[in-house]
Amino acid sequence: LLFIFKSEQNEAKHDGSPSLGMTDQEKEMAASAYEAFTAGRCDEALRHLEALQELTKEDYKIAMNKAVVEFYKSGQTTTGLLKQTLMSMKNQVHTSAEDVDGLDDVENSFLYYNQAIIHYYMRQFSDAICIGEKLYQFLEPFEEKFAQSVCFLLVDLYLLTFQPEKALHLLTVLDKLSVQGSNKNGKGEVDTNTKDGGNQKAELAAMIEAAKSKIHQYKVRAYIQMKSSKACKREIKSVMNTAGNVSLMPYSAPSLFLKSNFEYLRGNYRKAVKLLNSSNIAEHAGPIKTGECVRCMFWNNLGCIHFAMGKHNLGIFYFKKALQENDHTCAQLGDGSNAKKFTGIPMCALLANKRYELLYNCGIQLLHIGRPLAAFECLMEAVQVYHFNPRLWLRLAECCISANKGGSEQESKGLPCKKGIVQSVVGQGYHRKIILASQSMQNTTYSEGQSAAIPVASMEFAAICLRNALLLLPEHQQQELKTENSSKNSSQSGSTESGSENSDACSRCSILACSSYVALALGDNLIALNHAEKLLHQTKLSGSLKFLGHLYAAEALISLDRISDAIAHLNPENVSDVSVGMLMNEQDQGSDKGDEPVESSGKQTPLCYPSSVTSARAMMLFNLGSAYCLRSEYDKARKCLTQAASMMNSKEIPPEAILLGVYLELQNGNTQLALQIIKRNQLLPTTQQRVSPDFRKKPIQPLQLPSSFTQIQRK
Amino acid sequence: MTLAPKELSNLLSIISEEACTNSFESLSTHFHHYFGKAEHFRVGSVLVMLLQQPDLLPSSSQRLIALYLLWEMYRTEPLAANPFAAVFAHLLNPAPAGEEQEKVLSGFLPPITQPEKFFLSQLMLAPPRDLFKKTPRQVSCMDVGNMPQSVDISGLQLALAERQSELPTQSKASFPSILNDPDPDSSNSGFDSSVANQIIESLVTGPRPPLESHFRPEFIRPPPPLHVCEDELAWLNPTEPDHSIQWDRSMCVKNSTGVEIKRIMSKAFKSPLSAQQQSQLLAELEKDPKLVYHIGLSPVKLPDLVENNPLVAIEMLLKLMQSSQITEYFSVLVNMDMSLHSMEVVNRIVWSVWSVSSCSRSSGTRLSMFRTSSSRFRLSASSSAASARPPASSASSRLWTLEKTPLRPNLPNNTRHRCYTGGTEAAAKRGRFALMHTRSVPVHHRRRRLCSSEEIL
Repeated sequence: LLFIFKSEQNEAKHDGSPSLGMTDQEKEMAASAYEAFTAGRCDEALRHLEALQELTKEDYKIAMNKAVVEFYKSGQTTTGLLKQTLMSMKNQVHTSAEDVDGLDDVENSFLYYNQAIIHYYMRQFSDAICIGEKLYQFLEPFEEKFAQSVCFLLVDLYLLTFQPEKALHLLTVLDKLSVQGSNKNGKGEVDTNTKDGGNQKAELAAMIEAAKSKIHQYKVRAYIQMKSSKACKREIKSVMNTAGNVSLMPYSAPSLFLKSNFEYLRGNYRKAVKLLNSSNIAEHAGPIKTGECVRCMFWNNLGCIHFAMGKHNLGIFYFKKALQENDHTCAQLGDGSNAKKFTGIPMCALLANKRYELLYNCGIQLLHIGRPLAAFECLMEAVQVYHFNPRLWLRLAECCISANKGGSEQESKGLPCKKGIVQSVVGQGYHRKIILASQSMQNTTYSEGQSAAIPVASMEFAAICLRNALLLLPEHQQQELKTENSSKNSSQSGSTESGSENSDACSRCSILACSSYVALALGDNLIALNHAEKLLHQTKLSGSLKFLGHLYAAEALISLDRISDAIAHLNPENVSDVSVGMLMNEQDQGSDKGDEPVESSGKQTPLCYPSSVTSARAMMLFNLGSAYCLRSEYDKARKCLTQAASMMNSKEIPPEAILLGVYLELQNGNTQLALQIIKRNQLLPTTQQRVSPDFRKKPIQPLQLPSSFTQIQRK
Repeated sequence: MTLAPKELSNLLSIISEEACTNSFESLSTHFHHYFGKAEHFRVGSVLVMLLQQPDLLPSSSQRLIALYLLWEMYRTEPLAANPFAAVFAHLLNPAPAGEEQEKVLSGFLPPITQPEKFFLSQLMLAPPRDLFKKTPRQVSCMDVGNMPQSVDISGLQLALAERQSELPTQSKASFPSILNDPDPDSSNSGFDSSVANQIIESLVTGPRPPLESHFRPEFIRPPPPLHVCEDELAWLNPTEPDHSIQWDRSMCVKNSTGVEIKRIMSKAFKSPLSAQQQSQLLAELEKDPKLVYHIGLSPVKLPDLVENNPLVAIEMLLKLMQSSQITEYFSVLVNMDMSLHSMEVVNRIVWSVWSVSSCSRSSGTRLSMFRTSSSRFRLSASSSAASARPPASSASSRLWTLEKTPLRPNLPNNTRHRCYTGGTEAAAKRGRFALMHTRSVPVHHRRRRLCSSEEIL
């Protein structure tokens, strides 16, 4: 800053001829005001500005600088006030020059920049980006320092809004700018004062170095978002180098956190923990100074790592700790009422509150641990801020589904679960009656008399969430276009782009599967069928969801009285793979396996749902049997039932299958046998009383825990 | 669908053992006293359920009342429209003998006695009036041996089959979900109506009573697994943002010259500038290389400037060379009407770009871009480029000689104007002289700046 100021002052001195608009006196006054401001003497600067205002009232910039000085004088705590002042100034400028033809806006660049800054700290990122992009159009006219500031702001905003490609583009522009700056420096501009020229040079060099390391850090963040591990690795190296070069201090927290993030994404969890631990968070200047609570971030990241390792209880523990730390920080910064008015706390600290990110993490963790209602609470609060995140809406729907699925929580606690078969027993002795549970009653859940828009964990609300999620996902066609483009691009950017696309495609599949499931539960059969068919047409469909797609489509078709179509979907040959995971990861990981041994994290081991192809096929056979029943083809139904039962562990046989057995016996007039099946809660070999031999032979699959998790825990 | 306990007790009083001594007619009056049309279907459902559960409705006369009420509720409508007509058809349908014993299915109605069958078939036909004067008990004790037994219900069955064919398969496949499971150890120790009524109440009343549920082949519908994705959780990185509110350094500094220069510029778009204005403008431009962006020269306005002040236009375009918008300026330039001035400007731009292109390749690409964008000017541009091919060193020496040329005295404004309109030759001459005039600034300074800025591109 000092350097630029000096050069400008010199310029002003060289300029002998007084121009018509401004007198020398005014110029000098402006210069000394600036000098006082840069030196931090706010009162003096204010005095100069006031004197200047008495001389001339024309320039609104005097008033703006006055507002800026006052803002700094207050310790940057009057953000709201400054925002208002700037807004009214902008309105003034615009009414006075109605036909702004672009280039005129260069004049007001500082006003716009300051507005963007305020938007940034108030988390109004899209507004800030809007202004920033406007400023970026006039980048050339700006002096380098200011151009750099604009670029950095925009890069930060792009990263905050997950647009890493745009950020990277800007970072290359910034690279050029800094090269240009250093070149100039190297050549030694003529108008540096000889007296403190050396000082300034050193200062400038430090500034350029700082900018470089910042650029590297931003690049790492961008590559991390793009999941491009190779490029990321390269940048991490330069971050660590520059961080080490600038001073012989230990690595800074930002660089260590970034590296830990990188290792976390690669599945090297223990290394990630080690890196986090090596950052000295105790010595970090508090959130009031930096606007960041590193302790809270530390706990949060530990939570992330443990989540990924499948240690969900530890994950919850760390997330709660992070939340506590965050609350503590917020309390330090003052109560919420202040934060709302954007006054009373320093501007940079407006971003310190990470409550919603933490709640999001907490919610996801609770959902995975099997506490959907608690998860729902957390995510509902988070969605008020992140309402543009399709995945968050999907997660909310998953909470609703999991909360309404019923039984699972008791099941997991090992309580005896008579789910499904018998609803109740009425009467005694001669009058004893068994009331069979109707599955469709259990599965169809209406919350009557309540608007679906009220956020409760109901299936109706799940349907709304899923609709939001689908709408928020980028369009299909666009996506396909993008893939074409990216394949033409260089291999590097191509592979990285497909990363984000892949995750979009996967989200779409999950959303469609959930939508179909929810529609079935709500009795919207046509919609369910629609979603299921769309799901089956997805290109990046995992085996598990393909299986579910067929099941859901068949059930919807049955309800629509298209039984033959349904039977076509229920061909057990339709299932050949039930993995849930994404395969592209492994390829990505495999590419750079050569240069460094990656911890065998088990991250790649695909999860399965249901537990095996056999059990999936058995489920299909059960449903096929039900379909045959509806067509009164009882013999076929019975065949399906026995075949499916022989494929499964008898304890795993779902209640629906047992009820199908009961139904078949009742149809057969064999009430006693039906009652027996009910009472034993298992399918009995009907006509032949012996246990079929192949029932024993089949390898019995225990309820499969995700193998990756167990592997980690054993370590 | 459910009956309130009060309604249920009313119904049960009508079909109770004690009520069997009333005539059908008076039972009917009672019934209509308690229940309106809206409740009929619900009541009917309960009656059918009772008929299905022989332990709850043991006596023949009670069954007669139930059957009668089922018929009576819908007597004004055609028989096939009675929602419970299927019950009648089923009961009257002579089941094949032999199987009857086996097929006592919970879902189906147990068979009825001969008097009941007779009574029901009477209902199916036009019933004689005096039939309803009798009491249920009387009917149940009737000797029906010599009465006509069977009644032709094929018409009814046909109508029912037609109606059922419209129903989805799934809804036709259901059983009631109440399954009789009498404890074989407990003997039937006589019928206790209060116990039975309690059981009925628990089957019929309350939210979602068992009466409503049904049992049919159900589909297994596993919920979708939780979505799996890689980096879902928000990892937090400290970034130490240092974006800060900035002091507007253009306050009172650039603005002062800016106002004046802007004034001159707005004039420059309309008419040729005086020599003094021109030199002031060019001097300011030279002093502050970024000034050119601040004076309101947009591509749209370029033709005006070229026509009125070609020299200013040249200088400004040279300054704008690094701008991202330069191609826009060029495309405006090559698309404007051809005139001596516009040709002069193009010529000069191409010439100076050539002299720079020897230092840097990127400007060469710019030149080619410029060339391809201008089809009309291609010839003149390339020919002038060819003529201006001397190596960079000689180009700069030539600039030096240009600078040494004595300046042409500035003419008064009106003379210049005449000169301008007078003839192309004169205008061209003036252009040349003025060109020299612009080159009076130290060229090495400008060249170096251009080079350094080209490097960053």
